[in-house]
Amino acid sequence: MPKSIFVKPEEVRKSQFIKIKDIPVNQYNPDFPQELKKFGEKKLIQIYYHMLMIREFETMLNSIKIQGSYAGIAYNHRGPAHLSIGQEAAAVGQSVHLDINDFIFGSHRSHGEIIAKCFSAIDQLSEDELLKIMKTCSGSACLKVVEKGSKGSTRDLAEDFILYGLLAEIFGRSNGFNKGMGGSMHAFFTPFGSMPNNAIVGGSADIGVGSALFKRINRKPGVVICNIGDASMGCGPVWEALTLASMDQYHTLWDKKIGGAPPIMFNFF
Amino acid sequence: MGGQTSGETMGYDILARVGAGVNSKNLHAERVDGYNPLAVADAIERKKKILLAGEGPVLLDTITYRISGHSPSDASSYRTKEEIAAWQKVDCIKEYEEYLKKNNILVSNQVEDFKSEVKQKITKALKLVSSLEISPRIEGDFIEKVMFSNQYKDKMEDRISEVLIPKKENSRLLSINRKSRFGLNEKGKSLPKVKVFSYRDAIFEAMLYRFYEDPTMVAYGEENRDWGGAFGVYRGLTEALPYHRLFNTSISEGAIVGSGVGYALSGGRAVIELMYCDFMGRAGDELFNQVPKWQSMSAGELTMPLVVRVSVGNKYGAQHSQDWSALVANIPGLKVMFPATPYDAKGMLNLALRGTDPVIFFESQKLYDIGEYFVSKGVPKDYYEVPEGESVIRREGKDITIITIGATLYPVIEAANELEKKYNISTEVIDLRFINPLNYNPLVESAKKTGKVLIVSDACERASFSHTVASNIGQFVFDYLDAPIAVIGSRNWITPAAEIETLFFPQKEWIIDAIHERLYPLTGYQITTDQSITEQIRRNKFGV
Repeated sequence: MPKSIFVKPEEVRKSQFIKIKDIPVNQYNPDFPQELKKFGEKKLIQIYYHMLMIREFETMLNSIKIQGSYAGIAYNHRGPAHLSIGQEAAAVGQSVHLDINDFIFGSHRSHGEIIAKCFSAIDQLSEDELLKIMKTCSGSACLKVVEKGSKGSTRDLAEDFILYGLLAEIFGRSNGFNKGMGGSMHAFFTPFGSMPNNAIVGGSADIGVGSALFKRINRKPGVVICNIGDASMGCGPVWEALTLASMDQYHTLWDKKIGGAPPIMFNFF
Repeated sequence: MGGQTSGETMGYDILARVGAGVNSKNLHAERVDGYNPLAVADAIERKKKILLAGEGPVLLDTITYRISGHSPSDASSYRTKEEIAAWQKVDCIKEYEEYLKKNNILVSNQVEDFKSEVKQKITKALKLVSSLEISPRIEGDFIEKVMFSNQYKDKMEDRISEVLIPKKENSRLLSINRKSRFGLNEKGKSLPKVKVFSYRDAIFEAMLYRFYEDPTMVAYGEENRDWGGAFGVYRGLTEALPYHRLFNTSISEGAIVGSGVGYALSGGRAVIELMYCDFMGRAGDELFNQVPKWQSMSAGELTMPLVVRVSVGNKYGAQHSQDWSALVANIPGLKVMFPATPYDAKGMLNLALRGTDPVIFFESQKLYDIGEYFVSKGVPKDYYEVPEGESVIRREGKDITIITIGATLYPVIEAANELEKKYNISTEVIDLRFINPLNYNPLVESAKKTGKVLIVSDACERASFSHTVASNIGQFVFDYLDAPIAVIGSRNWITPAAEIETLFFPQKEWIIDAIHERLYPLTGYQITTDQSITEQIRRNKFGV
C-alpha cells in the first residue's frame, strides 16, 4: 500500500450518498446537413459500400455452409463460420474514425469488423503505403494471387487483397493472413490495426487492456477497442479487465507525462 | 448461445448501466444504436478523444441484432420468426440506403452497381481460394516451426530505458555486493542467511539487468511495488523504476496474465507475477488459451516476450502449496522452467527475459533464502545464461540416477549423501531445471549408466510431470533398465498444516525407502514408510 495515499478515518466514515450521473441511451439525433458536412458525400457512400461488402461476404459464407456453393462455385468448408449478418452498421460505423494506429481486438464473430477496419484503412492510406504493406505480407504471396489479371486501381487491388487474404485464412490456406493457422474465429491483419480475434467469450477484454497499457506506457499513438459480446459481461476476466483498466493509480501515482489511463474501449455488441 | 442477457441471464437491464459500478465517471458509458452507422461513428469519435486524453476506459453498449443464427447450423429456436422479421424490417443496410436516397446522395442505379460490384469481388475471392492449386495448405512441419519464435532480443525497442537512478546506486545492489556469492565457507559450512547471496537476490539481479536494458520491459502483479512483493524479490526495484514500469494491480489474476499477453503481442516485454502457483486457476483461460497460442495462431507474425513468474508455496495449507508444473507442461506453446539454485535462478531468468517466447517461470518459496551450494565459484556478478532445455548433473554417480524437479533437489542430495556414507552407493543426481523444452539425451545417458532411475518432485504424485519423464525415459532406454522407473511426489492429498507438512512433501526417508523397495535393496536397511508397489496400487484404488 503506497504511503503517499493517506486513508483518513473522518473521510471514509463520513455519512453521505453516492450520486450517479445519467448514462445516455440512444441519444444520437440524425442531422443530415451536419453529417454531410462532417463526412462528405463520398465517405457517406463508402460506409454504405463497406456494409454491403460485409453482407455479401457473409452471405457467401452462409451459402457455402448451408448449400455448399455460391455463385455456381461449389465448396465444402468443414470449419466454423460465425456470421454477423445484421450487425454491419456497428462494424463499419466503428471504423470510420479509426486509423491504422488504432487497434481492434474482437471475438469469434469478427469477419465484419476485420473487413470494416481494413477497408477503412484502404481509404485512408496512400497507394504507395498500400502496396508496401501488401508486398511485405507473406512475401507477397497473397498479393501475387490477386494482382493477376487485376485491372483496377491500387485501392481496388487492396480490397481484393483483404477479401482474398481473409477468406484464405477462414478456409485454412497458406495465403491467408496467418497461413490458415488462425482460421475463421482468429483471423486478423495487424498492418491495418486489426488485431487477434478471440474464440473465448470475452477473451479480448484483458488482452485489449494489455495492448492499451503498451500504448500508454510506451507513448504509442492510437487507441484500443475490444469488441466483445453482451453476454461476456458475465465473464469474470471481463470484470477484471474493467478493473485493471480503471485503476486510480494512473491518475494518482503515475507520472503525469505518461498521460493517464490506458486508452481502452470495451465495446459490447 | 448463452441465453438472452437482458431479461434472462443478466440483471443489468441495459448493459451500459454497468459503467456506474466501476468508476465515478461511469466509464463514460453509453448505449448507442448499432443499427445506424453514423450514430456509432459519432460515439467512437467522441470516445476516442476521451481515450487519447487518458480519461478512459470507456464502455460502449452498441445495440445490434444478428439476423444470422449463432452459426449456420443454428435453428434459431430461441427466438420467434416475428422478432426476426421486425428486425429485418429495420435492417441496418436497408435503412441506411433509404436514408441516403431520401437525402439525394444515392440513386437506385448506383445501388444496383454497388450490389453487382460486391458480388463480383466476393466471387473472385471465392474462386481463387477454392482452388487448392492457387491457394494450397501448409505442411505439418510448418506448424512445428511456429510453435515458438526462438528469437533472442536484448531490447524490444531501441531507446533509453526510463529509470530513476543509475544502476550502481541501487541500495539493494550495494548490500548484495557485500554478500558471499557462494553458500559455504572455506571449511564447507553453510554461511548465515544474511551473509549469503540468495535465490531471491538472483532473481532481483536478472530483473534489474533487463529493466535497464529493455525500455519496454514492465513488471506488475499483486503487491509488486513498495515492499518488493510478498517474498521480497523486487525489494530495491521501487527506487529504481517509475510507477509505469513497476506497479501493483488489482487482485485480478486473469487480467494480470491476459493483459501481459496484450502487452507482449503489441511489442513490449512484460514480467507478470502470480503470487502463488495455486492462483493459476484464477487465470486458467489466459494461461492455457491465450499465452501459449497467439504466436502459432499468427503463424509466427506475433511474438510473446512474456515471463510469468509463479511462486510455489508451502506452510500455508491446501490452497497455497501446490506445484502445478504438470498443468502447463501439458499445454503446447509454453516454455516452462523451474530453477532450484541461485545460479540457475539468475541464469535461467536472464535467458527467459531475453527470449521472445512465453515462459512459465516457477520459483519455490522453500528456496528464496537459499545460497548457492553447487557452483563453487559462486553466482557470477556479470550477465550469463543457462543453456535452454539442459538439465544439470548436481552430483555424479554410477549406481542410481535420481532426477529432481525444483526444491526436492535438497532432500535428494541429503539422501544421496546418506546412501554413500551408510551403504556405499554412488548416486547421480540430476536437476531437471527445464520442463519444456527438455533435452532427454543426458537423462538417457545417465539411465543407461546406472540402470536405475528415481524421479522426485514436490508436485502431487498422480499425473505429475515426473511421470512424463519416467514414461519417456522408460521408452527410450527400456533395455538398459534393471527395474521400472520409480516416481516420488507429494501425497495425493490436500497440503496439511505447516507443522505436519512432512507427511505430505517428499522426505529423505521416502526417497531411500523407495530405492530400497523398488530399485536397489540396501543391506541391513529398515524402511520407515511404505513406498512399495502394493502400496501404490492401494492408494490408486482409493484415489488418494
